[in-house]
Amino acid sequence: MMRSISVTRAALLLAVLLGLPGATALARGINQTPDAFIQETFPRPPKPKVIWLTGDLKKEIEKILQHPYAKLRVKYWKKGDKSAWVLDEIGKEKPITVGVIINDGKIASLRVLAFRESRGWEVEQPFFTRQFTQAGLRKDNRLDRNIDGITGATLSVRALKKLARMALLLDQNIRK
Amino acid sequence: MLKGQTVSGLSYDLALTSGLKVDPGSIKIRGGRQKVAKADASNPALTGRIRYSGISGLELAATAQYQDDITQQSGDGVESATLVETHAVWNRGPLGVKALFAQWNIDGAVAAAAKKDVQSGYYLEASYKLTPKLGLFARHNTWSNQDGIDKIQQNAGINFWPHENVVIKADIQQQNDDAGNADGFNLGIGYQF
Repeated sequence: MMRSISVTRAALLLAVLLGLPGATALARGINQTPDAFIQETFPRPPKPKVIWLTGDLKKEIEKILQHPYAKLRVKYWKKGDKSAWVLDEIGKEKPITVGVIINDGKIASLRVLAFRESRGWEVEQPFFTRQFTQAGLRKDNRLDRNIDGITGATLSVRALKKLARMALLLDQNIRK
Repeated sequence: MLKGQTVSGLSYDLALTSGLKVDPGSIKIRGGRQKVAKADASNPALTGRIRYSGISGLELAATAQYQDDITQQSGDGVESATLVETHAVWNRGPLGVKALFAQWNIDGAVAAAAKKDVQSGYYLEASYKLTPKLGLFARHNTWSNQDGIDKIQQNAGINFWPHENVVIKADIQQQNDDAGNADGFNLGIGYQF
């Protein structure tokens, strides 16, 4: 008797809590499509180009990512000193899609276009992504500034830092 | 499990779980953990957490758990239990600071007679990354599982990350008499996948 009362009480409590208006839940998934991102970056989008990942460039990218990179080429958009990149990297289990705009060798903006992980959602927020603004690449292919992490989102933070470095490296190579 | 978050960096989690099944003789909370596949869920536990992570490098959180009978046996003098916990984490550049406090309050005459009706503890930790691959830390822990017995442990150590998913750890440890006086050192290796 005692046990059945306990279960009932707990179930009722949970039901009440489930009925809470709750915080505004952010929809996990697509924040912006790559097409919309490019359209926003370039009101008159240039035709996309590709950079082939061969030789030392491929090795440098894999050194940044700390794992093999399967793609043979990466698509980008460029007009003047501005280039735009849409790149993916797995945080813990699922790919995070990031759009990076680089202007004259510095990150003009970085945006999470799609976040599919169950944890680490904070990396989508402007308070985190704006740390990348004006970041450049040092000679050792590390960012020229510290990016403060987020407790509980270590792997997502790491993925974004890698993609920022990768985009800057690719931009360097298309401007050679 | 229910969770959600706001754009301001506030999030919540709610969970209904099978709960602890503490031995009413020893009232050792850690010993009350069950294997999930065989867990007795006659008196489930309800856990809620509120967490703020709206500033890079900062986390503030508070957790509460309630179970209406922590032994899942009625009439044994060890009844409902509430856990409250709060912690703060602050990372800025290479520097990190953590603080955590937790306390159990256990109802029942037997728990009170054993002086185990209030069990609490805290730790303070500071860390510093000398390089991306090398870090130092120091931690002070104080906890009590029985009124009048205050355990203290201090650790200071070094972490080395040969790969981003691998850590090699070494630290020295000092304990007071109540904690077992197990002074010495620890060596460990961790791999996340």
